[in-house]
Amino acid sequence: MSRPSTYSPSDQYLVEQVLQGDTARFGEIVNRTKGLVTQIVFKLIPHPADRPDLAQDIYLKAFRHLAGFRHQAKLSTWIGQIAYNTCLHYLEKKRLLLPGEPGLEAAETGPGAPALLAVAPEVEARLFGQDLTAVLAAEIDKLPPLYKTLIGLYHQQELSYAEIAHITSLPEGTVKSYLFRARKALKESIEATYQRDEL
Amino acid sequence: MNTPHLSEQQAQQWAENASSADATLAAHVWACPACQRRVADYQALFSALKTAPQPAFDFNLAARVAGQLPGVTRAFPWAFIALGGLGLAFALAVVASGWAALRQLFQAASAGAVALGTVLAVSVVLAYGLEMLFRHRRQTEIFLSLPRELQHDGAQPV
Repeated sequence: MSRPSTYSPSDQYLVEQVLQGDTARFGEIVNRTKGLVTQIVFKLIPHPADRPDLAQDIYLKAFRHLAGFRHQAKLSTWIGQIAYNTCLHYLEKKRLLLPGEPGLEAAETGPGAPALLAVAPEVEARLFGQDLTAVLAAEIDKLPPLYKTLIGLYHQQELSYAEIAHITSLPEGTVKSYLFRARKALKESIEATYQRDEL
Repeated sequence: MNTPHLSEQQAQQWAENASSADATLAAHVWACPACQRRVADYQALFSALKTAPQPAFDFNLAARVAGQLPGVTRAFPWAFIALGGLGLAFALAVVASGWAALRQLFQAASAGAVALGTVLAVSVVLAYGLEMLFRHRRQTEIFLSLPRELQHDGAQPV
C-alpha cells in the first residue's frame, strides 16, 4: 500500500504563524490533528473520564514545544508521537497494561480461540455479513490497548507503517508484526463471539 | 504439485494487496475455496474497519485547548533591535555634528538657566512616574475585585 508521507507546506505556514504570536492559528492545528489524537487517546486510555484532560495536555505540550518542531516529519505524526508518549506516561503512572506485557500474548492465543477453518460456512456468512460493523466496535474494545491503537492508526487514520513506527517509537517490523497479530486476534474474537451466540 | 494453504499472514497480505502475491500462490487461491474464504473474511474485516465510526469527543477540543494556551515564547526581535540601533546611531551622528554649536550654547547660558531647565526636566519625569504608579495601583485594585474566572480570562497573555 502506498501512502503519502510528504510534509505539507501549509502545516509549516501554520506553525510559523503560531510561533510569531498568532496563537489562534493553533486551533487550526488542533482541528487538523484531532482525529489522530482522539484515536490514540480513546484506544490507549481505558477510563473515559481521563480522556478530555489528556487530550488537552497533549496539545498544551505540543504548543510549548512547537519551536522545537523541525519539519522532519509531518506535523500530525509529531503530534501523534506526543499523544502516544503522553498516554504511555499516564498508563505507567496508573500501572495499567503496557506494550510488551503478558496481556498481548493472551489476547492472541487465549483459550476458546477457534481454528480459523473450523468455522462453519453459515457462521462465516453471518460473521462477515452486513452486521459486522455493529459488532466491530465492541470486539475492538476487547483487544489490548496497543493492538487497538495500531488498528485505529492503520485502518482508520490510514497511516503508513513508517508513520506508525515514528509515533510509537517501535521498529517498522515490530509494527507490522503487532498489526498482523492484532488483526488475527480481532478476527478470531469476532468468530468466537458469533460461535458463542450460535450455541 | 500440491501448494499448502495460505498462512494467516499471507491471507492478510492478499486481502490488502492481491497483486503482491506470487504466481504459485495465486494459482492455489483461485483453485481453493477455503483460502478464498479466508481472504474474503479479511477483506470484509478491513473494509468494515475503514468505514467504522471513529471515536470523537463530545466537546470542541480546539476551543478547550485555546482557553488554556500559555503565552507564546516569541522569537528574539532582531528587527526591532536593528532599527533601534540605526536610530541611536543617527541621533549620535546628529549630536556629534552639532557638538560645537551645543557647547557654545551651554557656555553662553547662565548657571541659573541651566538649573531651571534641569528642575523642569526632573519634575516632568517625576510627574509621569507618579501618574504611572497610581494608574497601576487602580488597575490592580479593580483586577483583584473581579471574580476568579474573569481574572483568569483577563490575565490570559494570548
